[in-house]
Parts: sequence; structure tokens; C-alpha cells
Amino acid sequence: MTARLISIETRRLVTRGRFWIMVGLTAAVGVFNLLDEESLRFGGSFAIAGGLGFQGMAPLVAGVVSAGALAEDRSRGFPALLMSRGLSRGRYLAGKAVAMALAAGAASLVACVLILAAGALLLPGGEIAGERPPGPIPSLFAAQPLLNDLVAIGFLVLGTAGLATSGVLVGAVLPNEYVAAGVPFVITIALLFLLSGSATLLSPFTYLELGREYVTVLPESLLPVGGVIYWVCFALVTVAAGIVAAKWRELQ
Amino acid sequence: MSFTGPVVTLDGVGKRYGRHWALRGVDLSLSPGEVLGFIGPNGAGKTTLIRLLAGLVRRSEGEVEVLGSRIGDRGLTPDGIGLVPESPQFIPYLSARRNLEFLAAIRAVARSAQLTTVLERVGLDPKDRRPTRKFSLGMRQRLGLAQALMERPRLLLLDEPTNGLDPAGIVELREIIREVAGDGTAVFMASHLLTEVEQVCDRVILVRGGSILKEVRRSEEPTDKTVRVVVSRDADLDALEDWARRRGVRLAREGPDHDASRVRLVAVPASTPELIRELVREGVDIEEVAAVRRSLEQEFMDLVS
Repeated sequence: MTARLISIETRRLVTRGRFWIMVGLTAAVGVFNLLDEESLRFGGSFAIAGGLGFQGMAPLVAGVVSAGALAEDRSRGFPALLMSRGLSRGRYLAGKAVAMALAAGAASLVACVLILAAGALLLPGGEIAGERPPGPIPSLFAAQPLLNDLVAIGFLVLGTAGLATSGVLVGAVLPNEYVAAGVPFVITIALLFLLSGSATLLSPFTYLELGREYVTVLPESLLPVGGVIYWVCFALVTVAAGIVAAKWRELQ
Repeated sequence: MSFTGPVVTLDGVGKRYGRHWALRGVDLSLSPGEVLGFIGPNGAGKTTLIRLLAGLVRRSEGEVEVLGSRIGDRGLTPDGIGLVPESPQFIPYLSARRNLEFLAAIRAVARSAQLTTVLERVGLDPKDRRPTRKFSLGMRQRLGLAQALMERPRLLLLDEPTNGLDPAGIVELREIIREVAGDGTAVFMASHLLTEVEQVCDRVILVRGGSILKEVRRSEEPTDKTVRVVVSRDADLDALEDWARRRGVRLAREGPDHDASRVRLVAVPASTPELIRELVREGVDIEEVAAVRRSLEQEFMDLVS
């Protein structure tokens, strides 16, 4: 039943109008940033432009597309209809978390593909020039800039998906869709200002601003996997905390 | 799978929220095809009991067994429970049918034809494409009933099912409950509407402050037989009171009816003809006499007052 819940809920989230609105907005911001940077080339555009505005858009995409989905269900009393039919609280929340992450990640991925397509049409090929440290993996950027861009896209998609799972914890505590939708953006911005020094390793912003923050905060050996480790841990912690909170509060 | 034993067994069940006991010491059982009403004022613990039976909250003490499975240890509920929450809400931008399809798809139950049948059964148009956000409370209540019935439950839990229903809807709901019970489904209905419950339930549990006050079987003759007697003269009323005192019969005045006094005799130790003979022998001139079946409302008010 959990697999069906994931499949049906993901389909529901990606067919809502807000999914496509956020895809369009994110792609538009990305393309605007592409045109703003004269030094960009098709391969390496994501790396040099630091994710083309994703550090701001990813938390918004996560929030609007899916982070509020659990709180929205709770405010309608929907979980009770499923849990009274034999779906445990833990499996319901886990299924919901996967669906929320998949939908948010898909929105981010589609936006990135649109930006890449726009980059292929609008940007010149040839040598890459840029003053900023190119992330997320400078050595890969030097050898295969397009592949480096694809790694960056992977990190951004993971980041958007990971941020969406914060909705499981918030939704388990508070059945308010708007609060749950706002939390990814609030925690990203709040931790950017609150954390400093080595503590910035814990900041979501570090793993979204791939052109500058990521390469300066993480040790070089961790650059190829740092984003994956951070977002997987982020999702696991928020979902586990959400499940514990839901069981303790007897979420319905 | 047919179920022959009790569908629900509660043994000393209690549920505590912080220091407040929402339910305490509840013992009851429910058999297949039986309709059980759970009546009490707001805050009596009705919704808590429904949530316990649906596996949505854990018991704080006692044992809960539903459809042969112990509920509450691992938070799992068995198949075969249909729940109609107090104010059912659905995905607001989907139609009634699409909402049912969504729920049915997650459970991989109920084919399209079944959904059509169940929507028609609760009085909703299966072809209605309006989103449920445009539904009235009564229509949402009907849809709530449809989602509970679509899997042919063996236990139907109804929490204030008449909320928002118009009079025709209430009559239809009564018919549906009787039909469902006739097919062997046990029905548990929590309500504060005494007359509704009285008309449809085989057995009624009166509850207050989380504890059961009394259980009433509607098919049984009441243990306390009540007879209403009307007399017109003060002397007859005195004679009646005198007789009641000697016979240990509780007597309640109901107020004057035109020129006559109406009194209610409770726990009468004889049949109505014998009572009439006795009162005549006592010299009471009777204007009117009638055996009275006490309403659930009277029983409840007697208990709580």
C-alpha cells in the first residue's frame, strides 16, 4: 500500500498547477541569470553562475510544490481515512515524505532541463572564462564542464527534494499548510545568517550555492559526495523526527 | 471472510490525554449486524472511542479487540473498518468520484462500477464533476459515507453522521444503516441526537465524562415500567399518592392538564389492568391511564440529573 501511496500522491502533486508555475518561475530566473552573465558558456554555466539562482528558488520550489502536502492532508482529516484502513502512521508518513521529495525534486529537475536547453540555444560554446571558483567540483569543471553542470543539477535536485521533507516534521506538529510551505525558505535564510565559521557546514545554503559557498566550506575530498551526504542526512533526520512526533502526538 | 465472534470487544478501556481521562473503564462488545449507539453530551468521549476503534489513537489502559485483532500495540488496524469522521473533508479540487478513485487506488480496492453504485446509494450523482469544495456539508457527509461503504466494511464507525444532513438525508441514512446492518456489518454510531439514535440502534450506551452510565437495549421491555395516570380531583391525587407510598412506587407529577393532574408512576409492580383494578379498589377516580415507554431522552436526562 505504501508504494501505491507514493505513486498516486506523487502524481497528484506534479499535476497541480502550482508545480508547473514553480517550474516556469525557476526556469525563468535561471534563464535571466544566464543572460546576465556575459562570461558564460554552454558547458559550465551552472558552475560559474553558482546554480543560477537556485539557492533562492530551491527552498521556494520545495515549499510551494510539496512541503505543505502533509499539513494540508491533516487539516482535511485525510490521514484518518487511510490509517483506519490498515496503513500505519509510520508508513503513511514515510510514503508521504518520498512523494513530497519526488515531486519537489521533479520540479527542480524539469526547471534545470529547461535552463540547460535555453543555455544550449542562447549561450556560445568555446572556452570558459570566469572569476568565481567554479563549483561543485572544480577539478571536474576543468576537465568536463558539462558533466560538472550535471553534477550541480543533481545536487540542486537533491537539495530541493531534501528541503521538501521538512514538511513532514512541520506537518506532523502543525496542520497548517502555509507554515509548512514557508519553512524551507525560512530555515535556509535563517541558517545562512545564524551560522558562521565551521558551523556553515550545517547550513542548507552552503549546499545550494554551489559556485562559492560549497567549494569554500567543504574540504576538497568531500566535494563529489558532500551534497549527497548532506541532503540524505537532512531528509532522514527530518522524516525520522516527523515520524517520532507523529507517533507521540497520535497524528490523524 | 465472514466473522462470527464479536466484531468489537472492549475490556476496561481508558484513554488519557495528559492528566485528563477522555474515557475510563469502558467495557462493551458489538456483534455482527448489530447497531450500537453511543450517546452523550459534547466531551463525553464519543469521538475518542471511535478513534480508538479505528486504531487512530492508542489506549492508555485495557484491551481493544476489533475484528479479531488487538488494536493499539503497533498502531495497525485490520481490514474491514469503514470510518465516517465527524466533518469529512476531501481533496477540494477533485470531484466526488475522483476523490473515491484516489482513496480506492491507494488501497487497490473498489472497481469503477462499485464506485458508481456506492455514490448512487448515498444519493450523490456519480457523473457530478463539481469539485468537492463546492459541496454542502450534507453532501460531504454523504461522500464520507460513500468512502466508508465502498470497501464493504464489516465494522462501520459513524461519528455524528447526521451533521448537516437535511431531513430526507437523515431518513436515507437510517435506511442505509439498516441495510448495511442487515448484510451483517456491525455499526457503531456516536451521536448527541437522542431521537436519531433511538430510531436506528438495537442497543444504546449512555455516556458522560468518559464513563458508561447505562446500557439500554431497545428491544427489551424497560425494567422500570412507567404508567401515566390522569386524575381530576385533589382527593384522588391524595389517594394516589397514599397508594404509591404504600406500594413503593415512584410518583412524578407532570403538571396540570386543563382541570386534571397528570402523574407518572415509575416502577409499577403490576400489569396495567391490574394497576387499574388496584386504584379503583383504593377509590381513585381515574380520568385517563396509559402505559408509557420512556424515551431515551427521559432515560438520559434521569441519569444525568
